[in-house]
Amino acid sequence: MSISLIVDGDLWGMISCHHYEGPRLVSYQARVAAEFVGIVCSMQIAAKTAQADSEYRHRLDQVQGRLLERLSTSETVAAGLRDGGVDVLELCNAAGAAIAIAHEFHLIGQTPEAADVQRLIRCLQERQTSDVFVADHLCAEYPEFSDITHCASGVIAVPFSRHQGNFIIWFRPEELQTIQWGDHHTPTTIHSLLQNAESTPLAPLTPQTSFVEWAETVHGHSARWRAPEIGAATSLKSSIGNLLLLRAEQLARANADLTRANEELDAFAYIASHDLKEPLRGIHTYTTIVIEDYSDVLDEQATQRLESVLRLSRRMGSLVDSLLDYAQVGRNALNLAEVQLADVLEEAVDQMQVRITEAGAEIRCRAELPLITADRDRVREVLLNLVSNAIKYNTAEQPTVEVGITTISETRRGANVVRRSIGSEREPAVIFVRDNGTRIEDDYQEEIFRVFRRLERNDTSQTGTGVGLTICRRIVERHGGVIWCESSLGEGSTFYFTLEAQ
Amino acid sequence: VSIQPAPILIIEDADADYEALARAFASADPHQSLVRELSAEAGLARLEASCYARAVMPAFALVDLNLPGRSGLNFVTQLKNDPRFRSLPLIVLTSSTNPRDAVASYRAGANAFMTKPFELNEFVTAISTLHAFWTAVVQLPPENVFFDPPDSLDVMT
Repeated sequence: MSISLIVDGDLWGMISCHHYEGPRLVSYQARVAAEFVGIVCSMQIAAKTAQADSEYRHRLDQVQGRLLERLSTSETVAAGLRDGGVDVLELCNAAGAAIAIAHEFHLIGQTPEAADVQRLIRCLQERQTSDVFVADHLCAEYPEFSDITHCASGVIAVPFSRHQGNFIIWFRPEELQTIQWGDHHTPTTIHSLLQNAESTPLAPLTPQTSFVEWAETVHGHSARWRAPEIGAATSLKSSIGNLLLLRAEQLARANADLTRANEELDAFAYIASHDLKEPLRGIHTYTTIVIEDYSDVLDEQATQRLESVLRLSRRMGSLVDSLLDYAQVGRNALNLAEVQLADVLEEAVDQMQVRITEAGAEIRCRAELPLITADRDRVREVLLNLVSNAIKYNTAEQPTVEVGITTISETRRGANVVRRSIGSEREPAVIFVRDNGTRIEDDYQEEIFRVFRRLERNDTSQTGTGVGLTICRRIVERHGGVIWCESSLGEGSTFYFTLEAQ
Repeated sequence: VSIQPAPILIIEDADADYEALARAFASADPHQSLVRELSAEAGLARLEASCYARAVMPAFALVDLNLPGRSGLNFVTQLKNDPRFRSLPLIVLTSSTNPRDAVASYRAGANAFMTKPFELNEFVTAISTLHAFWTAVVQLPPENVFFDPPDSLDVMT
């Protein structure tokens, strides 16, 4: 006779009664009583489980509350989760967790290697669903992860659908389990047991020992995730989803404010420099007129002083022009098109042919330059600035400028400067302009990109205004690229910039 | 018998720039007469008065973009939409190097767009070239086109 224990509609367990001496009729009253015991047991189990779950759920709610409070003040959601790592683990009673949100990636506790976690994220992404993924036997579903069962047999993965590849994943290690297969007894096995019992009549056969034979060690499993734990993960998903949405809105607002402020600043710079130019031209014109018309009454020193006024107003004029140029880079929208970089370089070289010939410089380009998506005029301006700088500040007897293409890994600082987003496989084109001129000291390699920052004295005749590199940086950054400089003793300087290649 | 050349209308509020222009035109042609106005409104009023009185009209006009009150661009637009003044050559003379200003000026109907050079001698050279072009190289419309303009803006056949 067996009594089923049904909890929540599922067969939770069985009470079975055996009688090996032959068939035995159980009275109706006894059967009814046994059934009653079964029902009471089932209800008790359900109630006790529910109570335990509810207490557990309550505790996890508190953990989540603590975590959300931390997130509300943290700099980013991912950083908040990282700092609240203990709570993150406790939320699902996990041994480890991985957080991949908005290009941030953190591992907490006992987890697989970062590369394995990334591999898992890619797998989970292919499921194309925003549902929470729960497994206490991961390699059953994804056999390719059988090599990380020691720390990731059990997994709860929460995707954030707003952003591709954004996940919180909890890990549980493998737990070698001995499972008693209570429902595997078939008539034949019972029969074989009976035969064994006959050969050793002294050993009493009880139902309990009869099951030991089917005990089995199971690999690749973790402790089972409990309902409150899965519930906590799901509820954290929606809370963080909302938080991310809120943050995105805040970010968008802040960005809009910044853009507006930037536009206003550009407009201001444009108007200010425009208005500065007018009186400046007046000063220049009148000074010229005075020198021309009153040359007979001016002594030599007066003429010299007036010449200085002319020179200074000229210099101020070119500073104002540079400011105007700089403001215009920000004001005008990029005119993006597919551009052969080699053509643009040729145009730039044509444009400064006079200067190149004067300096006796040689411009070399051995590499095959790529097809890029960019604003042709702006990119020409970058090349024009970099190449003309390479000639202008070159003290070598035979100034040589080489333009070419390379990869981030072949540069010294590229890996640090170029921030690549997670999942972006394509490497941008890295274009370089290298000269054989003077070395730029490490301390100045960033400085030189700042507006009006120059490394030489202001009043020397042939130098520029110190805006060229700032304009270059602004143009490259508006294209989503980076520009930087590398220079070491005895090899001149190299300027690198990145652009999206086709 | 030398005929007095038609004057050139200059709408320019900055004294320094006007003085530079005056010197430049004087060196280009000592007999060239100039008429100066300080604003677009005053320039338009002068043209209207000349037209009404069938008095001497300017050969062409130079206008600065950056003027107090109505802008130079506004002046160009208004003249080019007026049948009486449509055939008057208008040259925009400005300190701006912004291509946008050039495009806007030509769109409004300007006949030329020129950036004022910073150096006086370059200014003089540029103005001499400009003067030679508009007085000797090209043929300007007869004066009566201003007094008896065609009714519509249609192209005359």
